[in-house]
Amino acid sequence: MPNTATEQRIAARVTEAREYLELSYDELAEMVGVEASEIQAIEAGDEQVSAALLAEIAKALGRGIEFFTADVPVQKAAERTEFLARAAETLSDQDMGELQRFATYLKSRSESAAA
Amino acid sequence: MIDPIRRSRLRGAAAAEKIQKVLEVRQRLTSTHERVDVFDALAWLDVRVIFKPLDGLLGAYIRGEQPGVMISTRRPLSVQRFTAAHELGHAVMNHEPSLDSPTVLRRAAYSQKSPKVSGFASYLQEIEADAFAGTFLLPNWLITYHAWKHGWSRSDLTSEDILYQLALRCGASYQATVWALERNNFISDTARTQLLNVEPKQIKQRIGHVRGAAETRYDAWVLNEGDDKADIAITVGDTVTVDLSQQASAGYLWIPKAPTPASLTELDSSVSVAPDLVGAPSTRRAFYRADNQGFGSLRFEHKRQWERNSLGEVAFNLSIMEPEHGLSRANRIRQRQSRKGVNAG
Repeated sequence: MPNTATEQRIAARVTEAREYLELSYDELAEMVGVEASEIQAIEAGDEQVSAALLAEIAKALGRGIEFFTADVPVQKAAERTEFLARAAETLSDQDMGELQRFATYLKSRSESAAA
Repeated sequence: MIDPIRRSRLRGAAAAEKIQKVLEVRQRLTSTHERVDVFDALAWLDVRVIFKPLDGLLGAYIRGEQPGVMISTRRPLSVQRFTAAHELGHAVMNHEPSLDSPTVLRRAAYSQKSPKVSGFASYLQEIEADAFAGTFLLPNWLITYHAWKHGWSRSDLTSEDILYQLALRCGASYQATVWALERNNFISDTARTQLLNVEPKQIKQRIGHVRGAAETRYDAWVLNEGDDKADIAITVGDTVTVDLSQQASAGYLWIPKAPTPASLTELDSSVSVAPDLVGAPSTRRAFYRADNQGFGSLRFEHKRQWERNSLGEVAFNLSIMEPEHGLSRANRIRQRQSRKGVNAG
């Protein structure tokens, strides 16, 4: 059975969110209570993920469900990122990028907690 | 009137002591590698901690409904721990991101040489967070605990070699440890100045670190009887020198009781005797490098080779860890536990 666009999107976003936290398949599998092979199959788009499991995955990866299902990437990063930084030198583009990605992640996380 | 900087230092230190009580840091010390587990404290507060490669930043704290702390992977563990404690200070003291503009980044205490008048309140917040971090990671009782275990006297604490080993056991940088000793009146301000003139790499070179490693972030541990039965966390790349004093003239030698754990490589082994002293104790020295992540114990017994019973034994339990990356280990553990908690209930 061919994969739907939604399934492919979910697969890609699970990979993205897992890789951002630098978790292995095993670690994510243990956090949500399934086998690592199941996570691999979901990310490869070979297996459809149930709504219940997706909710578990979203919780473990600290994202709202919309992060996985919305057709446009959730890039509405916190416009007003409030943070305190401990800098040794100057702030580079790389650092700014990491801060923005982290702020986006935390924002998605607070949406998942509100849901 | 008490000056504002001093008041901020006191506030930061008081907040750190309060959190230590809440988390029972002191009671749990032996299960946290005999140092204060700052990453677990953050995970307990449900603050997500993430390690990413940052150039100039040591770390950042992002406030909000779901607060988070980012730590640079490009710094040694001691600096990462201090940064985490500093950000924990911001979190528990509920610091405002910035008083003038929410998007303004505020520099670290290191680079705050002359605060602008407009930034004075945020400058004080940084002072508070630094004082929090110092007291949280290096409380008086922790210094006393390690000094007592090793039989270090007050005057021993002016030795740079001992101080470096104390810093390793507390999981703090050499410099932060020197400041903590002065703050707690273990050493004078003169001793502090002298100690701060020494660079840890000079100390590491003297210990006999692997060639070239003294220049790097890798640490050089020296373990002896004072570390018996301790559960010590070291990083892949660190070296370990076991230094045991033996009654060789009476026939007693320190002999390995178990094979070297797989994650360590023994690089050298030697016995040295004080040259002018007949019958003086000799020192058995064994030198290892931590090559892989894992757990293992180095065990030795002090015995005459022809006798069955030993005079004494030591065991150094080592947890060898890779530097952290991505989501913190403490956050990962809590995430797994919360899942198990659900299943159990």
